[in-house]
Amino acid sequence: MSERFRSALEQADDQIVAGRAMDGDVDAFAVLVRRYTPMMRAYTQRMLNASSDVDDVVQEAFVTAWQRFGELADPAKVKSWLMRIVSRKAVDRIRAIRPLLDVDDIDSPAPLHATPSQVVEVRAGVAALGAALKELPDAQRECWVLREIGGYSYEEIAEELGIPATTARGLLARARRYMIVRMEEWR
Amino acid sequence: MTDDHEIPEPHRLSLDPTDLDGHTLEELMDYLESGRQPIDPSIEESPGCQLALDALERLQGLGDQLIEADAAAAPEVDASWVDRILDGIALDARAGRRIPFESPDAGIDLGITEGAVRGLIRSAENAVPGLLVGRCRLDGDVTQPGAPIRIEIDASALYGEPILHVADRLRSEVEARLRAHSDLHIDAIDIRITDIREVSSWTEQS
Amino acid sequence: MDGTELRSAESNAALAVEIEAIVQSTAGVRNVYRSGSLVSNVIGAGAVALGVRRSDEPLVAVARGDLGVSVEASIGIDFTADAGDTLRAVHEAIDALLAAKATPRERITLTVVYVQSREAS
Repeated sequence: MSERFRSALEQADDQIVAGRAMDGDVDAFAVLVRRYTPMMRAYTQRMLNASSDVDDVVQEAFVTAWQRFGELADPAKVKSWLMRIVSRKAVDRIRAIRPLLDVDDIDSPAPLHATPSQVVEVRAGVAALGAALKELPDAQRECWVLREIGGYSYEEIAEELGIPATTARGLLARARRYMIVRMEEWR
Repeated sequence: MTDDHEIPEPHRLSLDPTDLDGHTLEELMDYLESGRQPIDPSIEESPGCQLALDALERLQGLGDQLIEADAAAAPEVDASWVDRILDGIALDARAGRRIPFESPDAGIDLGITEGAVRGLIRSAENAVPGLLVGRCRLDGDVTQPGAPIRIEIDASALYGEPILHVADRLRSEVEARLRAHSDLHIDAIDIRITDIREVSSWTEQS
Repeated sequence: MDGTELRSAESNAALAVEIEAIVQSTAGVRNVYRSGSLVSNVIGAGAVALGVRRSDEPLVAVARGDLGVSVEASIGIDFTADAGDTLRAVHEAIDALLAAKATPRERITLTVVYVQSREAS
């Protein structure tokens, strides 16, 4: 493939690139891999709060996407479609390790002073958000990521995590409370 | 080790119901989500609630920014990562339907895959400067000899190229290729230009 | 497998290798790819097909039934020759090979899975 062509395909919009990939063009699929790997890795990292499984999850997501391209009705929507697939794979990974959500995990309030004050730097905006997110208990963090980044409804979160929708709402409230208070401390 | 210092007063923000005039954070979340309709005076007139609502609103939308920031800070995706994924995919998963050719006798079954035909249609772009083909659809029962088939093609053109001219060129190229490599009965070739690319992506001459 | 089946499997494999060579050398053929399962395509009772495919097995699928040999191949072709012409040339070459061995032919299934564009050559 000529360099000129390669650069044209690399910059073409999602509708064209995903359209070709759906039709079987492996080079176009490679463009999608390069384009969306960073975002998919970031999402998975935030969900799992651990970096060891991230690459496996993202790889599985891409392989599944290739197999199930027939289900993508509109190639222009490939970004959100890929994010849904990787989200599902991340939750699968979580549930494989932790089949049932711990009741203690749901009920316990998040500690408000998780980090010794000597280590806290002044953090603004997303950096503060990222730091606070890491401090959340697993169930709260997962709910927050599914809702705020994945755009899942309470019912969808409930289905993914195997909990009632009311519990999902409660977890989300706890997560938001912690993050607001925490980020406020850092201002 | 726990930190047992008091949080300094000016920075104190608490979201207990006592600070929210009897409301819970969950109620405020629902209130926000319903677009603050219908107006609830007990919330609107509570300074504690307003502070909390402001904080909730600030938090909204930061999620996407966080992922963008994470992604931007990440190292470049390397070629070995891409190769590992490509090695894991089944290339024939996208072969599609089998399109038959006329056959000399009943025991001889000749065909071409829909995937091969789509690849052929994509290659027509090489004859039209600045054109990139996206998705192609073959509408109609391609497995039935003689069935009328409509081709739909999404394409991306270079900014400045006359669109109709480009589309016509592509159409005649596609027609020629399909005639040579299939027995398909083509009723129509519909081309949609769905993307216009800036000249800058083509200024590096090879 | 008993002795008879083993000999059949071996002779099928040997025939498949010969057919693959003929197909590959036909004008217009660029590549021979691994075919899908032949078992679903074989009609007629008593067909003895090859077992589970391994990567060292021939790319062309060969099975023997009551009415003769059935062959299945997937090919990549040149842009320059008509696909139809190339496919016909391939089946004629296979038929010629089988006729020379006085082997009856039940079915030949040939599928083009890739057309090499002029520019990609």
